Amino acid sequence: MKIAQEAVDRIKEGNGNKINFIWIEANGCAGDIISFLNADEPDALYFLKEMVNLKYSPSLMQAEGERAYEEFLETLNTDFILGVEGSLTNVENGFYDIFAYYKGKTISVAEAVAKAAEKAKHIIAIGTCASFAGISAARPNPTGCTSLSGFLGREVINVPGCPANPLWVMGTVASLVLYNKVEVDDKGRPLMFFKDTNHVNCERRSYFDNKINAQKLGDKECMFKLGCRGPVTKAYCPIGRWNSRINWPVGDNTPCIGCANEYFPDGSEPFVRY
Amino acid sequence: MTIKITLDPITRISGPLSIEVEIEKNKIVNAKSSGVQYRGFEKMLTGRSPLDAVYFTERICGICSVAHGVSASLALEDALKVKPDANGIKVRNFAHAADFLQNIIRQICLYVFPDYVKISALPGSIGGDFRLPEKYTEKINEDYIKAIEYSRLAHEMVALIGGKVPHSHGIFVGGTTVSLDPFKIIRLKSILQSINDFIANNMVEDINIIAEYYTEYYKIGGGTGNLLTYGLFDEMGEGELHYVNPSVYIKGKAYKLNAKAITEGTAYSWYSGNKISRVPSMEPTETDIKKEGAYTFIKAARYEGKVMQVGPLARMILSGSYKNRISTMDRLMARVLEGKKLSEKMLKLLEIIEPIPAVQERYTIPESSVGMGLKDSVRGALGHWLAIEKGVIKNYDIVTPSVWNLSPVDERGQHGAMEEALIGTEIKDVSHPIEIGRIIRSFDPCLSCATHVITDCREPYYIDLI
Amino acid sequence: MDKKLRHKQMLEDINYCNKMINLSYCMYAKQYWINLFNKKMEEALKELEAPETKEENKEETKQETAREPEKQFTLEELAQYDGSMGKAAYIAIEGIVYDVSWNSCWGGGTHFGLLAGKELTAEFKKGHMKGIEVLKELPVVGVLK
Repeated sequence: MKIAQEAVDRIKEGNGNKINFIWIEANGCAGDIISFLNADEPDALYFLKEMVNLKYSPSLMQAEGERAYEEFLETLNTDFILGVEGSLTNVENGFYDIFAYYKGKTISVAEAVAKAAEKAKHIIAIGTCASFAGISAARPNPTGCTSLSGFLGREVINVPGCPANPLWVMGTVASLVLYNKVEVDDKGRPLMFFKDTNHVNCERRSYFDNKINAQKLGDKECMFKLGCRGPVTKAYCPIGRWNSRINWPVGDNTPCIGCANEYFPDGSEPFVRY
Repeated sequence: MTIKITLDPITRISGPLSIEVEIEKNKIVNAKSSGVQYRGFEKMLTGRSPLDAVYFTERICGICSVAHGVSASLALEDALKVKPDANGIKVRNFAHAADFLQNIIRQICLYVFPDYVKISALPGSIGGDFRLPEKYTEKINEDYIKAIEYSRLAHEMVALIGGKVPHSHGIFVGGTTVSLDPFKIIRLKSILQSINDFIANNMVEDINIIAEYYTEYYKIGGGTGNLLTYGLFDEMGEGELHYVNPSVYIKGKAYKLNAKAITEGTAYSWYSGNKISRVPSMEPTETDIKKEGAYTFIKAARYEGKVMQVGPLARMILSGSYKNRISTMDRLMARVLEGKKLSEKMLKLLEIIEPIPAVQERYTIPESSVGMGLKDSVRGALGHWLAIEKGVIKNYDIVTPSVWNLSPVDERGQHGAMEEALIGTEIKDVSHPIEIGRIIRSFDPCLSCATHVITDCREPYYIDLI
Repeated sequence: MDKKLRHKQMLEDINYCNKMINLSYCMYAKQYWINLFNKKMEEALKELEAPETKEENKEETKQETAREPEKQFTLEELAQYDGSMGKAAYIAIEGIVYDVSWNSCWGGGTHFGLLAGKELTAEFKKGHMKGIEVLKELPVVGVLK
């Protein structure tokens, strides 16, 4: 990806100081970090070596227990980008999602996120749960989950997707590292990736335009009559695709379920309808 | 004098886990495994369209979403009376196994290696007990880096079949949705061969090196010798593709699995009520975070009232591929060897997969029905139970492998497998109890899976396991 | 149809729409007639600007006329058009039946868990509190009996 490569070169020729990165996993499935590890050109290794110092990540970091929490606290006193995946639950003092146990005290994820957000240089909501509350808040929302911006009461960069596509996260971080900002739309989503709906660039448009419909999953025709949410979902899937750009749901003969939408999943139901 | 240590966060696992141990004279005398996250998936699923269960339940877990997709598809096929075509089953099993490989590579190389070797690609360190000489430290660091690429490739295989991963679309009722052709087959083959090479050569060597320098881990962190598996590649005939049948191992003998013997208890979990319920039950129940004595969101799954251990070690022993020995290092070794075994089976499977489009139908949802989908995922036995009423989901029960392994103590005082594994372990340095994390990670915990569930003690519905 | 007759018909349609706008109390019905009025005016203006050609000899294009009896749907008939199995997807709001078969928000004939082929006034009002602007673009296929 060009923008990430530029960021790398700039870092190399500049002061060589990489910004720190805190990746918090809130109330979700931890799918966004797994998705991010699937990044390709540049890959996750490039990210770790050349773009940021990943100071905190529950999935990857080496320290554990109190030492891990201390590394989190230490990073708060530096320049860092905060990335949060998963929804925020603050009911019952955030009991439904715990971050750490430190010196006799239980710290909820909500508390840790609030602490980090105060000091972060940039804040990214990674994935639909963090951006828009997502499936963790699906009816009836048993744990009162909200989006990151809803919880903090301020705007953040939203990179939705269930999970967030690694291209979108990588490109957003690259923009911040290189230009100290990223252009977003009215919902905080980077315009790089959320300008058009999946319908605009779908490879099956000629089928749609001629009203040639798939009858069931597995067919090669337009998936609209089976429940495709492509026409109402802004994302980058038909262009950048998934998993090293090799495939995407529609290309796999299934409808788009609008996983990057504000109202996913309740607003996309039912996902499949014959 | 009893020292209480709480380790939270346990890093390099999937999801938030808190461990509290009591240590007397440098030995762990009590352990509490706490799943400290909850979302309530079963409540969410009630009232939704049954076909949506596949994509919805995948989102219970980011690292093993394919496993949920498979179990949900199996449960729906049972409820809808759908019989996938033979090729569809093979392709779905291939995608499932590909996700196993991703899990195994990431779990061993990215999650476990840093326990034994300082990794230079990431800041920080677990510190303390590093014993490997320089040349092996370098080798494992190199393989850590390579693992990032090979695990990504494993997911590329899943995406070729499933459209994307995590949270694939192509795993579905009836098999898969992908239109296979010779070009896709050769792409799968080329990726698989490189991964097979990495596991068989690099990873096997690495885990043997670690085992050589940390031999005492063959003696600690065992846990119960009762094993359970829902089977894997058991529908692939009896030849070289077959892996392990649904079975249990109790007190020295192997038996066929009886799904009706599975129960879940909430005695020490943050859910209201204190009874044992058969799985599946009828309705989700409420959380009760003020419950006396409770310490986790994970429930206690039992088989015939007994504590069971699940995962690669259970499968390898039950299939006769590994000697019957249970310990921390055995679990790690079995995981790597299972990776090698699976990738070899996948190569053979690929030879008989036909490069044809998927067979899918317009499935009819019955007014009412029940279904069950039991299949092992990489971490162990994963079960989905579904009841349809008035054409929508009335109830959905899920019991994940981590509910077996990471379960709390039950009403009879029996600790779950991991708690039992910790109890009795000698801690060399109480100020840096590195043994705890190493034992925990050998179980490959997944908390987003283990903590989603709630069931209640009502009249259960029964499904015959054929 | 020859040109003179066609123009007479157009004028009659426009006047009829105008009359119905004034007679309608329900804002949904009013909007329906306003939309139809605007459409008819557009067509009339286009007709007036079009040069003399052999258009009259060409095949007649099918035109929606206000004087054609509106298709009337019972609830049972409406239920047939639920968008499943490749069928068209119709919904009824305040007595007017709209075709949502190819509306972006109605993939698979469903919208936020709602199925087509139904009377959805209450749900519409709840979900679109800002009003009826969204209905402007929807093709109308008839009215509820």
